[in-house]
Amino acid sequence: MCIKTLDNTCPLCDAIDSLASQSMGEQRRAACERLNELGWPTRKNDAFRYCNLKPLSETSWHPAPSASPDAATLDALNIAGTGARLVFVNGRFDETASSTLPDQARLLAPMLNEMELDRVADFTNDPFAQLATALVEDGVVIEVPDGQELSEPIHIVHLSSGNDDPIASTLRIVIRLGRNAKACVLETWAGDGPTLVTPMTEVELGEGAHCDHARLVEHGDDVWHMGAIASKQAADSTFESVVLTVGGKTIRTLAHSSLDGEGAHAAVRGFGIGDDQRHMDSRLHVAHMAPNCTSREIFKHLLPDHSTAAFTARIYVNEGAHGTDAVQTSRNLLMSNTAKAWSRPELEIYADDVKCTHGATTGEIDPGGLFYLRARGVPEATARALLAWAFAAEVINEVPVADLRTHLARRILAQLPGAETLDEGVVSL
Amino acid sequence: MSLLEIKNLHASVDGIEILKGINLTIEPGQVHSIMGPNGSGKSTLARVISGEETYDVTEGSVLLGGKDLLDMDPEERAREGIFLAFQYPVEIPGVSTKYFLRTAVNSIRAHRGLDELDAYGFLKLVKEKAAWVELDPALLDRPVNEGFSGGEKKRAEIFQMAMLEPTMCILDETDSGLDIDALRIVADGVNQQRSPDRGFLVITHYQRLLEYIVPDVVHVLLDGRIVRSGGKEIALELEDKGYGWLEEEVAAGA
Repeated sequence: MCIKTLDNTCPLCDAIDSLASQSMGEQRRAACERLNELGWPTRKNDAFRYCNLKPLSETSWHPAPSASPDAATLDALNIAGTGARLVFVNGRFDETASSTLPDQARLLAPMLNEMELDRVADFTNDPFAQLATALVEDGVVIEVPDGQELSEPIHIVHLSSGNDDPIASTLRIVIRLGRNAKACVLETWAGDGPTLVTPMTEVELGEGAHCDHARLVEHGDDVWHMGAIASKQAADSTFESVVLTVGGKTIRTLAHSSLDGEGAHAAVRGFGIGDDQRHMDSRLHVAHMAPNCTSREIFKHLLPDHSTAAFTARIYVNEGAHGTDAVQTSRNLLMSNTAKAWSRPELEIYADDVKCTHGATTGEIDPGGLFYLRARGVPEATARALLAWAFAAEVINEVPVADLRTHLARRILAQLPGAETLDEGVVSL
Repeated sequence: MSLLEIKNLHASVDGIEILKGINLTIEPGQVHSIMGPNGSGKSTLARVISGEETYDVTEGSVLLGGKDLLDMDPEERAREGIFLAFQYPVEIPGVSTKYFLRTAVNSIRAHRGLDELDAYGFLKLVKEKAAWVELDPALLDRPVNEGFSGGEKKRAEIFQMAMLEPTMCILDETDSGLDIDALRIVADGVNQQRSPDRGFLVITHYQRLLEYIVPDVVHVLLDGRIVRSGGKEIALELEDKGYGWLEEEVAAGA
């Protein structure tokens, strides 16, 4: 089945077969069959036009072994101001490293058979979303009833660890907020070694609900992070999401956002720093299905070395979704002659009285800003780092949760080219 | 020794010559003004002295206290004592004015063999100098020049000048876009910084600024050359008659 077509001794397929005998049999097999039909994508597939998946398709992936996390590694990932920390290693819950589950959160593993997954967005054509379903063993389900609020942000950490063979794992995060409910959920993806992870987060917001969400990608250099985020919002709800990439080999973020109820607001932001050959691929789809919804998408990449970034985003405005206000921005800062960026904004509009704007820029450090700083005595290397920081800060400063903002800023500062010329004080806004 | 000594300076951009042989000497304590119509090369001169790389210097020399400036990067020139108050100060979102300025002050102090200012010393200096130009120190928590009004930007430039304590201050059309009150505040800020060992080069299009910052010498720049130098009465004459008559005179003399 599935990946066996590429490699006749596919250990991953055996694992999926064996999982299917335990839970979600039908759904796993369906996902596997679909994956088999799709195959590993090539550049001929428009959705992966800028993404070289050849090394991934030539790798023989194995199921992830059980492993224990390293305490120091985990603690380095902590985010100030968060409550419960739920740790998963290679797709499985690690009770020892985790805090007690908050009331509104449950583990997915015991509920795999009754939980309806993949109901937020249609990812039929995405092989990695199919793999996420075929391979899922555990995850977190956060359900906040009407009018309630998660008292503290939940931090979910996924660590890949202990692999000699290339391993594949996944984790499912399901967030369902009732009417006027509120939650803040932060994900960190980390770990080293040849790994394929397919993060999948599904968010459903009731009327007036508010969800703050962040996904931090902090993998080592040989990790394929092929993730997706699906959200579906009722009237007057708010979804504020940010994806930060400071690690990994290839990072794909597929984000589908459906604004189904009048007055809903979605903000999907991304910031990524390239490194060596890193490729960051963001594919966004925002559907304005109801009137008077607002959406903001801003993705920025800072690209040194041979790093690359692609941004493909579509705003879809349904018939009758008048009063739509959508802004889509893609900005890339090239820090070397060998870095590359592609931006493809797309608009599909079937309503009148809408405001949809998109802007895409790719450029180098602004010589005017550089001269201004240097003319005040700031050394060139510091001036460049300051301007790179300024480029990042514009996205980070929009993140509404203060502790998260500071955390993101520090993470960026740790990876920013030339950051050694700056000090902590730069994170002051 | 002269503070600033410019000899036969030629500079071009994209192969087009803008400065066609500038000679200018400024002694310590002096205020010189350069006036001239748009496109005469005033801003180019300011930027060439401060080291903007867009311009190619094809001939001539610029010395600051006897040191060859043309061989230095812009940051080295700033550390040696050059300060350019920009006509259009650049906005840098995401970087607080305070952080930027502390970095600048400390790079210059290090060059002068002084200790870095700690947070307390820096804030003390900020309060003192901000008062000179009636600048609200709260502005310093904002990103560099972002969301500043036109007047605030210019005042911030003069404030930065006060913080960096340069020896040679160049003001590039600092009066443009200022109303009369803002102009007076900016001029007061400049006048407070006049001292026997500091020189000023005030570039302006209009005579108005020179009523507040009274120059020792006024130069008229036309088509990349200084065509006339003299006392402040030249400024009044230009205000009265415009640049046309001088252009004709120069053309007739050529």
